[in-house]
Amino acid sequence: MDSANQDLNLSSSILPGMVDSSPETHHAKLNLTANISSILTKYGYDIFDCPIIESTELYAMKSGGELTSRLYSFVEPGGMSVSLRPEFTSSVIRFYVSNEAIHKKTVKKQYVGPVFRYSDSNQGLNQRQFTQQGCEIIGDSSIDSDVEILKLSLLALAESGLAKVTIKLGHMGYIRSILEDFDLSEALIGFTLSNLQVLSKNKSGIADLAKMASQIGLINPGDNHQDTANIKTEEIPTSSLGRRRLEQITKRSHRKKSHSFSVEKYSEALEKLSIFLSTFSGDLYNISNNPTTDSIHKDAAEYFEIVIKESGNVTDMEVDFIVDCAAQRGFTYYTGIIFDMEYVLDNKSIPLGGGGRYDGLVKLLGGPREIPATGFAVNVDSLLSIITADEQK
Amino acid sequence: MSEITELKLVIPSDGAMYGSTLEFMEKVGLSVMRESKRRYIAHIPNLSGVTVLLLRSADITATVEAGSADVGLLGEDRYLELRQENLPTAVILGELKYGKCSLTLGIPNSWSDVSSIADVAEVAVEFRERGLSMRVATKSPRLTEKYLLSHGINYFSLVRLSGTLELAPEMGFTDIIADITSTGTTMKENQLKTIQGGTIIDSEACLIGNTNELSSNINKLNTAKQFIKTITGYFEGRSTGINVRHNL
Repeated sequence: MDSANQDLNLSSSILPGMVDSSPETHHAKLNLTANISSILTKYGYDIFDCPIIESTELYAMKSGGELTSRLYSFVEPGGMSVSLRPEFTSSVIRFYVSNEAIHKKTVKKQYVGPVFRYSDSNQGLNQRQFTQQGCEIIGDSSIDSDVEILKLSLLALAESGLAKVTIKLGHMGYIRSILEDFDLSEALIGFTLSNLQVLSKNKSGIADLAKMASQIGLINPGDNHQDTANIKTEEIPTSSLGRRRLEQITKRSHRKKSHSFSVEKYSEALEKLSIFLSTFSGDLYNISNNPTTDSIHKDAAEYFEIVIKESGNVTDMEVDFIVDCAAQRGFTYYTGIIFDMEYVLDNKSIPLGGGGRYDGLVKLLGGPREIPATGFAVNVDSLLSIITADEQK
Repeated sequence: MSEITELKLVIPSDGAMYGSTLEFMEKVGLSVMRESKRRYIAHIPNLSGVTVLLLRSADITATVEAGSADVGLLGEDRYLELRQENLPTAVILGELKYGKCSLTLGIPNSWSDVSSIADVAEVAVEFRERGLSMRVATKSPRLTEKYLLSHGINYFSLVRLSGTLELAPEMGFTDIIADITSTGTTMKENQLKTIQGGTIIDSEACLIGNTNELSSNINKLNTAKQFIKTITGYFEGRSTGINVRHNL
């Protein structure tokens, strides 16, 4: 193919991961989103409409990691780095921090619109643009708000006509508590949370994860690492500290000295975490009948029992709840419940959306203090494609 | 229109890779002849059927991807940074034993508490706790991002710069840099240090090719095979061997 022909083909082809909707699909989407919106309105959620682009830094601050690497980012003509939105929560929090945090009231917002997430071919994700619909509660830390979000997720799925759904539940709060009891650094906690799958994958998971942490220097620091802990304030060159302050550097140096973490101690923390992950894996009946004296295990069992019992019967759908604390979505900002919604077709799981609690995010994005928040979002296009495929059978 | 039968080889026209590529070609017995320094099309007298194009290193990957050239010599770091995953290009020969460099993190000397990549992960968290995002200046955002994520660093912003990166932290524009270095001298002179585990990629020159273009034109394919055979023959003669990554 010569380059002229290639140019022609590129300009007349739809981009990978993008879809042109037929009039029927478009109308079905309008109907479904309007119906879900009505449900959310009944529960007191105000419509929130926001720009489709935001500063790249907003998304980097919120999600970091996995989602940041999938941003459609570009430099606008004025020179600012901006991105197409990959989700709505960042914008909701940005708006809340600027306009509503001062009133100290519980705020409920709902939204719908296109989101953009790049995925390369080996990630197995086909859609790079899809319609997301969801809601957030900001300012309520109660289990009732977790139950409400789970209920609304199920109501939204039922509205599409789905007959059955699988909900995978986890809880980052209990996992964090276990790691914090061992006084792990925030970087080591973040690393562990991002690699829970390694831990639960096989018997050598603990050794594998400890080895990975050791290789990148997160634990068992080498001699070079120790040396810097002995540096006195007056020995630190004061030129070009950048945006760090001298006291931060000295404080960290001293903390490194007192908090050097051995492979053994990290393995001990992972052992405890591993027991929790294997206990909280499977259906609720087995978990509830597992006698335990550990307070975190007891609290977690009680928590899962309440949210499942109170949300499970809100629709006529067949709901298969699976507790799987190791299956988290790569976003370390979750602080409490985390859930994924899936439709299983021919032994293959199709992701429909998810949600969870993120109590630290408001403060991280500039809020005056830590304010609890929770929410969910569904992928409307996935829902429609399942329903359409079912109708064609 | 008659079919183009000449194999188009694209080589760097800029930076250190220009001179080292010409030296490499001469060493393997395929000296490149230019009519003048201002002429960006050249030939290889010892190998007929090849047109040599001289282009900026940054444009070589896209030129081969578009099929405007069939094969190209460039630093593997540039190829991995710029390649489009859905287009039919591949590294045919890796590690050509020249153009060696590393893409490495540069940290302000004054950050005396930072000596390993694990420390950078903690400093990124420290920035985040202050409502800031650690800024990393780089000309290689894709490679840098993959590396940071795989090393437990989740919160950062990449600032794409095309000029001198070493000044960015001192100016307060970014916090750290990820830059190409061969000796580390420039970083040192600009109050930056390297750290344990801070090498993103060790790179050297490689030969890339457009596999679609080559497989659909027998004349080009035969010339490309001859070209590759000459290079591999040179390395085999010196008993160093060569890393053949993709067989045509």
